[in-house]
Amino acid sequence: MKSLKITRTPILIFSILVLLSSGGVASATKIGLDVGINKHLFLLQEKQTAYLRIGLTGFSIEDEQDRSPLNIAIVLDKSSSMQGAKIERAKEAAIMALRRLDSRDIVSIVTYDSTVEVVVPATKVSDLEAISRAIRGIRANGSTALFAGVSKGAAEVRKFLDKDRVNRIVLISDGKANVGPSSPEDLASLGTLLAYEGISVTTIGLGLGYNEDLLSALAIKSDGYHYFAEGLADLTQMFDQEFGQALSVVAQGIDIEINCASGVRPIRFLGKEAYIDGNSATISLNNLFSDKERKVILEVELSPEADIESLMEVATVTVDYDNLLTRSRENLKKNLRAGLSHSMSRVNDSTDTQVMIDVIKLLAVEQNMYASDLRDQGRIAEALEVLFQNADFLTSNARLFNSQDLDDYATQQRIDADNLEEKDWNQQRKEMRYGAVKSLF
Amino acid sequence: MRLKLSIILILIVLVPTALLIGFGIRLAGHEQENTRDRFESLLNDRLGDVDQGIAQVLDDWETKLLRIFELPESTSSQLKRIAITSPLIDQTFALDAEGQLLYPTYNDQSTSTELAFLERVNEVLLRKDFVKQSEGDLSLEAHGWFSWFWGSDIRLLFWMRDAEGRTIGGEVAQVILTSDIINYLPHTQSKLDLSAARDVETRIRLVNSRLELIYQWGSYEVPEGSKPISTRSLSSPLSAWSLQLFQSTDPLENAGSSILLTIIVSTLALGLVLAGLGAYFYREYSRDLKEASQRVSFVNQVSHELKTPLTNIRLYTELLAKRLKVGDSKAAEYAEIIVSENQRLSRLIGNVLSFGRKERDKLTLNRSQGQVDEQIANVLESYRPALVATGIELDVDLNADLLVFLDGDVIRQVLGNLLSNVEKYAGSGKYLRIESRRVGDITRVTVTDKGPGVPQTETEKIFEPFYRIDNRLNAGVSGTGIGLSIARDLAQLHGGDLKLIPSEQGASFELSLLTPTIEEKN
Repeated sequence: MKSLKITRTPILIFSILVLLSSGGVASATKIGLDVGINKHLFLLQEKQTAYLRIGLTGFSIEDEQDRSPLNIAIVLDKSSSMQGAKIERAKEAAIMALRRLDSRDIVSIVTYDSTVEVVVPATKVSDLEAISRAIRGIRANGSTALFAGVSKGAAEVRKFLDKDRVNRIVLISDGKANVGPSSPEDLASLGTLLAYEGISVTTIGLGLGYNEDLLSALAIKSDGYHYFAEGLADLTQMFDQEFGQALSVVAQGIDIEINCASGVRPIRFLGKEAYIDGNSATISLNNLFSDKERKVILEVELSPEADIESLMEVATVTVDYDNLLTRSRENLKKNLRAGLSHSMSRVNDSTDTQVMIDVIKLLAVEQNMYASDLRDQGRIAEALEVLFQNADFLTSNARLFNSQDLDDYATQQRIDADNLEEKDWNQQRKEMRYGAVKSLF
Repeated sequence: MRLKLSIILILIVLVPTALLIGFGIRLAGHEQENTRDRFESLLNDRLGDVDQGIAQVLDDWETKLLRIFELPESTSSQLKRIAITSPLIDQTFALDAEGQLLYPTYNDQSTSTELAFLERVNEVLLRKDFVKQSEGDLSLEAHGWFSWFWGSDIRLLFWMRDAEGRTIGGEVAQVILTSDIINYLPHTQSKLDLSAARDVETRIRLVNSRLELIYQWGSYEVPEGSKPISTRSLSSPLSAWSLQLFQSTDPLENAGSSILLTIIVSTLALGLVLAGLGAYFYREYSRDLKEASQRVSFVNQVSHELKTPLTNIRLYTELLAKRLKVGDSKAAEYAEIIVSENQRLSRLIGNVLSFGRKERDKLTLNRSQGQVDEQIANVLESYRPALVATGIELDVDLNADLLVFLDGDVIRQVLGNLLSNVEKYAGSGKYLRIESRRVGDITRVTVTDKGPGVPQTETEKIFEPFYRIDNRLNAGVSGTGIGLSIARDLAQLHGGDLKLIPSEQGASFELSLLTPTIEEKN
């Protein structure tokens, strides 16, 4: 730790340099941790909102041999609505995706209609032909015992639950759950438990008949991905993407603990629910992919006590995770400081572009979901208003931070606003939830 | 005769068959009941096993929850942390020794989960029901389940007493518990890998207190609206939930009906055999009957044909006797024997003919004017030589010489049979008394001997056709066995009867005859 008792400005400049240079570059076998804040300077003795950004980047896998073994359960809806091309395409897509696996991996196939059937109990992928045969034998009919299907899928994954494996469930459904617990809250609870156990559920909604709230809640709570496969062509591609992601997981069981210094109060995480107790905020992620960054944003309330321009301790970020390559639990730690100033203009100039872009995106996603809720209540005019304001907010910030991503998202708001009519709403709603989950990865 | 036989045969076939069917149905009913009992207990055992397994899941939960609540001191912040971090618990709580809620309480820091919990579990409920339920158990290690209804289903609460006598616990995350229970329960086995496709298919359902489906397994697709064949409530604390068993075919129906079917089939088979036997006997019997009647008619014809030569033999023998030289006693004696034997033969033929007529219901009476005594004397005359030869002393007392209407042939035949019997069986008595008297329209003739008599047990049987007393009495004596039978029939035909009346010694027959006088007849 460096001494802080030098002159003001150089310290500030130095600290900025430190912050910039300490960007989350992952070393060969360690994940990269990048801790940022939306501004480098804050006003003295004033309550203000700030956003902390914790970015985690998975290290590269140089050799395919080093990839993480999978422990994956494919849970396939075979209710009567899946009959015909849907079930056939889903089977094909599953078989194709399984070709990417080998004898290091464990797979199980669970189907459900009104009851659940464990078609292939958890087994090593050494006889792909036998597994494919079992998949091809699946016939669709009956109602939709989704909850039980996911439960049984989880049971198969638990048989070989291992923190050195990528433990996940891939759920494909085109319908609404109607046997057993069937509300989004029920599935969210199940998702929470599975996340706690280190199992993610990726949900693929097929067509326009599924319950997007339920599938997205299950995915978000278990830190899995959610896809909206509108057409059958998307399905194969999404399966591929999903297995690609699963194969590139380098860290799991990631617990991020942010201990705020005095004068800093954690408020909430953007886009995710997490546990906040006093000055401490913790959040867990279940997956980190190779060469990809995932970030969480914590909103805090800053109330600097110092009355002179100085450096302020903001938070200490600790990250614990299971490294799938080294097969050990590793630990990263970083301190975050910010400068204090009484100059409003200097404070305004100290904005961190990358952090701001992420913050604005997540805030906009929240607004987007809010618009969706309004639309659900039939308050179309208000929903439109929210979406247009959101678009304007995104556009101005896109210009300010020169962000193509924000600009694209602004356009998306206008497209969304165009699709609030009854005939488009079902599909639109699914798109919006798909978008919300994407923003978390 | 044939009609009677048919009815008897039909009854012989029908009665046992009907009885068997009756017993069979009762047996089948009984068996069905038995099978149902056995089967129900079997099904219940099966559901009982499932229930046991679910109870085991709850036991596991109890262990896990005890570990979770193993706190050095149960502060609100610790409980709050558990509520948020443990996926097994929806919300935690703490009560002081008096049952006052310590946590959660309404304040500005309350989370939405806490508020929802407070709404569900108001203090009144906790104090009134929960404390009451757990009060009996005040030991420090006490812990247990508490369940109550909220919304659409029951809620489970786990509680335990801490060192300070406080009660801490949590509302179980029902969804997670449900998921664990589902994972304990079996999944549906594919029909493909069960080569026993003809097996009875089953489906077991786990339903909540509103009978809403929680989970089900088994390959049987239950048709809408069908009723479970067995139901069982889960053990406490999940007793509001129940298990239902469905089956593709009701095996009980099969059990009972298969037995019933077996019984009906075997009874029918037996019925058929009986009917076949009946038909066979009927055919045999009617053939015998036909043959017998042919034989009877043949005998009748022959007998009839015999009458004429016999009459001629008798006539010419009598003529011959008159022509014999006086003093040729030997020749006279021979002639007398021929006449006597002729007499006997006539009587026998008369008996055979009467019997034949009786068989054909053609016995008729030909009344004409005459005296009973005259008929008696007539008969006595013809039997006298034989009686004398046997050494029988005759005692005759006749008092019926009124002119009446009578059938002389009938009277002679009856008396002839009686006298012939005396000669044949009662010769040892050396005595015969014939007495006649008339009382009103009835003429009574008694024939008494001092022979061995008739045993008490045989007094009626001797009147049955072809019955012969089987003892030393008839030893070495031939006879047809129809004499007395015919005699009685003829007496009855003549408006009277023939009876064996009690006597001190030997046998005494009383013949009664309806013999109206001429005036009365007019």
